[in-house]
Amino acid sequence: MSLQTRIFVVIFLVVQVAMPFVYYLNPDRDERFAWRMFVNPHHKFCEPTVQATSFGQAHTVELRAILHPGWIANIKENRPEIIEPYLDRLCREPGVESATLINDCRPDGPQGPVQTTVYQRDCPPR
Amino acid sequence: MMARFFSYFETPVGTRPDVLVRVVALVFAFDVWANSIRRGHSMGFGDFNVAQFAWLDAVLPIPTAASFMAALLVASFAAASIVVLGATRALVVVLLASWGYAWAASYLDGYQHHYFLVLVVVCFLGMRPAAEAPSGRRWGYHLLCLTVANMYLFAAIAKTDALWVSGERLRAIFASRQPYAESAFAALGLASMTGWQVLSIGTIVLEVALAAIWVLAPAIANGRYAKLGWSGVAMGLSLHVGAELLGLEIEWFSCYMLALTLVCLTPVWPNLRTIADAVLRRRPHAATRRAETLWTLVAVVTVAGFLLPADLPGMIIAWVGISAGLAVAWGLRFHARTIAVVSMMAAGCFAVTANVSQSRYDYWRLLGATHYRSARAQATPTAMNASIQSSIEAYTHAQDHAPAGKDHQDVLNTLRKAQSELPR
Repeated sequence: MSLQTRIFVVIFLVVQVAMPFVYYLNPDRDERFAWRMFVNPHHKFCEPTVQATSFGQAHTVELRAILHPGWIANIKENRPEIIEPYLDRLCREPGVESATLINDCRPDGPQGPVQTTVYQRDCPPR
Repeated sequence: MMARFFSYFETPVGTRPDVLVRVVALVFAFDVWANSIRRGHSMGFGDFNVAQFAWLDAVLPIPTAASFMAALLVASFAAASIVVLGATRALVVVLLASWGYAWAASYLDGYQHHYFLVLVVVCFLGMRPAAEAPSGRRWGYHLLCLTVANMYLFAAIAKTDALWVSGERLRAIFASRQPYAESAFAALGLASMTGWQVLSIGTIVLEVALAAIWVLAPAIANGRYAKLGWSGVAMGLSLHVGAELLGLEIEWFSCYMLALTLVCLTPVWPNLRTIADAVLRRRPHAATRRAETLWTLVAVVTVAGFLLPADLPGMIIAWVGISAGLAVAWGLRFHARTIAVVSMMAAGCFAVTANVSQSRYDYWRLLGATHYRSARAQATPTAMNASIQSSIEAYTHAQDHAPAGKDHQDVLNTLRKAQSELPR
């Protein structure tokens, strides 16, 4: 094996082992690279509501209007890596000045206490 | 220490890498045509996307159904060529780029076996055919064995979760097959929950054992640890056939794992030297330049004949991409005739598989349903009208490809009525 191949092999293996470890160090992260097929998913049981202000008027936004159900499922898992770009997307709608997503989550199960996370975006002027 | 580690990759494994890449590539090509196509309906919907990695969002435009389908088609044609030519570097790079894009472009692809397939294709880089790598070193095969071992090990670690160990999780997963499983437990004299617990813990033990055996897979290929090899085959078959029998929704993951298990862990390996000399290492009859040109032109036309009327987005881009590949193969005299013949066969297989598997029908049906849901959530009549119109168009396509017993005329009537009642 050449030196380049050896370096490649080591990096490839280290990354593969590191990816699941990163999940176990911070289980709030998603499980995509942790090989947790069919294991108890840590559902957050969130109920998101979205408010936007367009042309000075506050109104409720339906997630389904823009989003494929797959994204809504991720938002219901309180995934900031999806929620933040979604708010950016809302800011691209005509006249939208600000957008807020309030996620009421029950990480301890459907009967558990509610933990609220608020994501707020002031849209840049266009 | 490091020298010993790297000597692991020097273990001779014979012709197994040649067979492995061909079997996996064959399953992959049909998997794309039968399953992956339907996922295109979510791509770029609502002009929103998040890629698998944040940095990709900065460099890639939002994927569309067309770009996704085109990438899938190019990947499947590269895989089909690998079935015949082996894991030549150029084909593996094309496969890695196109499948890598199809997987990484959207976070919505949560199937871990699609990520696994990316890793497998990376390993193909080190499984070049004998003609390209005369040294016979196939480090990619060994790397793949460690990759599979790593997957099984972490799958087992994940299952040490209390809910899994108690058997509750497995019981919930197999809710629909519960009566069959529990009657089997009763026949073995086990109480219901004890049975689920034994099955759950047994799965952990099986996966840890398989991880260890996969580390030894190159040695098994080299004629050692035959009993362990047979144990691995038995365990792999029971795990993955069991998953299929119990109806887990994992697309074709079991097919890949069964193929890998049988190729890599079977201790007895037919002497492929004769076959390999005759087929795998055969130098193709040198086609004349004129024949190569003719085959390439016929392939470009034939592929267009299958792809362009396929009634799926991205077919023109896919055709242009595949034609460009054919042109490059012709220009570089890189197995031009073989790639031309394979492309024509792949195009035919794609057309038949997309129809028989209903993946094309599912694509349009799911797109129609997604627009329908969107229409019901729109705030303005204009936006609602646009969503309804998109839904009608998608369901009309679905209706064209609907199998016997599936009819969307009622949905179409409902949508048209709703559209006519919208304020003008």
